[in-house]
Formats: sequence, C-alpha cells, structure tokens
Amino acid sequence: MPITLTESAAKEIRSIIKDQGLPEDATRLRVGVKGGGCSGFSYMLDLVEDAPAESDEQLESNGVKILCDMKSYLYLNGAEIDFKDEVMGRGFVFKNPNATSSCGCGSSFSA
Amino acid sequence: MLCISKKTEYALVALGHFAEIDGRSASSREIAASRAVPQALLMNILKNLQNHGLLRSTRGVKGGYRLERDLNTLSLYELIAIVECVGQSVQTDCGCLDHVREAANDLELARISGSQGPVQALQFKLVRFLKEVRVADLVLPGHRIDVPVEHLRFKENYHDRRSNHAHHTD
Repeated sequence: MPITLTESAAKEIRSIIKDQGLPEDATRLRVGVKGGGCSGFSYMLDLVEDAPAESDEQLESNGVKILCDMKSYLYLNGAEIDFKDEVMGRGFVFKNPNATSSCGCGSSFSA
Repeated sequence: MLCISKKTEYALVALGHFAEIDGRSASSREIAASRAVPQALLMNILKNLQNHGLLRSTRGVKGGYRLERDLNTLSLYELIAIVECVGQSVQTDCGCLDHVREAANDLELARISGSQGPVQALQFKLVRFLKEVRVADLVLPGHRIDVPVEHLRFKENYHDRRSNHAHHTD
C-alpha cells in the first residue's frame, strides 16, 4: 500500500508550493518519520527540490510527487495524510495503520 | 494569558492513553512508564480527573483507571479548569460546580486584565476558543494535527543537511 494524500491535503500542498514561489514540477513532498517524543517517532513533512536518492521510494498522489526514505517507508506504508482546517489550527493529520500507539501530547507514535 | 501547564499536558497524555487502550484499565504506573511522565504528579492528576467524573477507578489485580467520559464532549477549557483547580470551592462534581467554576474564572479574568477593555475582550475570546477545542481533537490519532501547516517549509539541500547531521551525531 502506498502513502496517499487526500484531495484536501494535496490541494493545500499545491497552494503552499505556489505561495512560496517554488517550481511546481520540481518540488516534491518529502514524508518521513524521525526519532523523538515520548512514544518513539514523530512525523515529518518537508518540501524539497533535491533529486531522489537511491534509497527513496517515489510516489505520486492527487498530483503531488512524494519522496519517502526506505526506513520511514517501513512505518508509513499504507498511511493516508489528510488536511484539517479547524478552530484549533490548520495542519496535516496522519492516518497510519502501522502506528500501534501514539502519545497523548500528540508529538509522537510507536509502531 | 493562554498558557498550558505541564499538569494539563500530562492530563492530555493520560487521556490519550486511555482512549487508545479501548476501555481497558490502566494504572498510573503503566501510563508513567509508557509515556515518560512523572508518576507522583500523574497520580494526583488521575485522582483529580476521577473526582470530576472523567475517569473511573477499579480495584483488584487488573484494577486501575478507565475512561468514563467521551473525549468528544470534553472541551480543553473544562479540562484546564479541572486540572488547574480554577475557581473550585467545592469538592464534588455537579452542575452547580460548573457555574461556580465559570463565575470564578470570569472574576479571575476580570481581575487579571483590570479595567482594560481590549485586554479583557481578548481574555474572553481566549476562553471562548478553549471552550471550542475538543480534547478528542488534540489527542486521538487520526483526529489530531500531526504536522501544523506552519511547519511545512521548503528545505534546501535536504540530503546534505541530513548527512551533515548524521556525521555530527556519530
């Protein structure tokens, strides 16, 4: 199962790329996890222009090019990234079937 | 002004833990160990949450606390008021206590902000905001925001920075 973006998440990312004046064809969304937080891992999202590394999974969802390094892909395989715009804030929500538990402070998860 | 203390943060951590274990009981020791929270402080927080009907305690070998309240119906305002003991002058939880707490909060807000209309207006707006935020949206995976939109920025030379970082931390 690949990593997917909902239409609303893809729309927001395309909008950010445009707002920051980044080249639409060359900009990719790098998705990953990093160590840290009380439950082990935190999610990362970055916009990059770098060429994909050999160890990167290359994906595309709703018109957004996605990169994910192999290690992160083990934890994110099958995850869906959604976008939320609510009273408490605007941001991206990971629906990750690999996460067995997440911390209440919302900064990390374990898998 | 708006300030989330460690006590409130730990209460959120604990409520998130209970929500994830799907109705099972958990002890303060279990939560403290798995979530890296100081157990002594957590015990006080859990007891307080139980007194206000958010948790129920059970005795026995498999005893502990379990979630009693739907986190979709709990506002961040209510949680902060409970955890920080704002305006509480009575021990038990009932409809009256909410009025006592709310009135005390309003008085406290008025005291803090003095007679300055704009600051007072801001305080009341913050209170309205806290009442609109549901705890479920802060702690439940798939509901909570994992990456705020402000964090999504262009990163130049991603690989170089990653390898430099790895080199420095070796």
